[in-house]
Amino acid sequence: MNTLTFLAPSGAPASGTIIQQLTTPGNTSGANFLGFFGTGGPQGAPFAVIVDRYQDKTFITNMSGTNLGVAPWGLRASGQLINNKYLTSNTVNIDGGGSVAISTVPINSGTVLIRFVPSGSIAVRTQNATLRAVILNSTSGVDNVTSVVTGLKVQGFEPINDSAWTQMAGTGATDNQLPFNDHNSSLAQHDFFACLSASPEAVGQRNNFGFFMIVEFL
Amino acid sequence: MNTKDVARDSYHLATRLEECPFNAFWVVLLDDGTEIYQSEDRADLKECSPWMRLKQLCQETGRKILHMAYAFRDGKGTQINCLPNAGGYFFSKRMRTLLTAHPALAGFTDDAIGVGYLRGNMLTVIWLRNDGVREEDSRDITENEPFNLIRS
Repeated sequence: MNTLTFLAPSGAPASGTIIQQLTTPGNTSGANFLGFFGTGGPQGAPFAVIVDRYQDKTFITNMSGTNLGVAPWGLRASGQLINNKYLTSNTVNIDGGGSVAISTVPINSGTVLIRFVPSGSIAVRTQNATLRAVILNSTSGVDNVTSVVTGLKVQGFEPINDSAWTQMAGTGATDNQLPFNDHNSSLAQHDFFACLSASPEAVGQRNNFGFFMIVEFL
Repeated sequence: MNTKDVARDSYHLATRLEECPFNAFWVVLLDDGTEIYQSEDRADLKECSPWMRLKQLCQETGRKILHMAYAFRDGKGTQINCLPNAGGYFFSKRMRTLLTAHPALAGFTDDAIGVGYLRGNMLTVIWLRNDGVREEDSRDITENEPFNLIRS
């Protein structure tokens, strides 16, 4: 069976944690969500991101934005991920360290690592891999996954390969997806790193969205 | 040797329906009448994918694909017929997954296969998902030609 898994990359406090763990259909309390927070993170204050500003902390959370470092979850470092905060179109603030040119960001500074492993130890190439921020609601289904999240700016870039952010959603977005470079070498495992940043366009908690990863391979 | 023998012996391709182990499979007709059927991926070969070995065969022998279809041995699916005599033909696999805490969609993943044909610079791909749903997309390949496109 092919697998496509969201992980905390090696540079993250929660390194190696599988983000979808505890995930079964209907389970909204598992570690299966990316949470974007203010400087306090999921437990501290302020936990909220101010409208039209970008997040200061990023964690693996459940749908309620809970700190998952405690029982019964017990995620390493409470599920904390590297925070990639949007500054300008070609700069990022990584974990509060100041402005950095996107073109110099190391690969393990990604917010998430998305790992694709084809079945049967077969070596494959990949192309047209994209990540989208999609809106979800009670009537959503797999046919709706091209609907872009609204009321939220989502920015992303692929470390090493990009020199500027791509706005994936929100007012002013020109391309509703983050494209990854094609992997032209045949391998039995392909890793895609993405740096992600989010900014609310209105007051209120947002949890009706998801990140949708698509990979073509052969 | 004729193309059929070369395809079988040098490129490890299936040239008879009986050599195809799948219920659903791609099949192409080459310009000398040879038919090639989808076979298993082979981890023991330098090029695992039979489609990519077919591409090598076409490039190295000058053969062209005249027609491609995605067929169903049991007749339960409707065969996908690509445009005949197209500028090229395409086969791919696809996987998608959704990261969300949404009650109904958490953990959602799906797989699909795609068959396509080239007309001008526009590649039309018909995706067949594992739930049976078909989707079609078109893409301009002028600046980024897919590695798995076999030009005619």
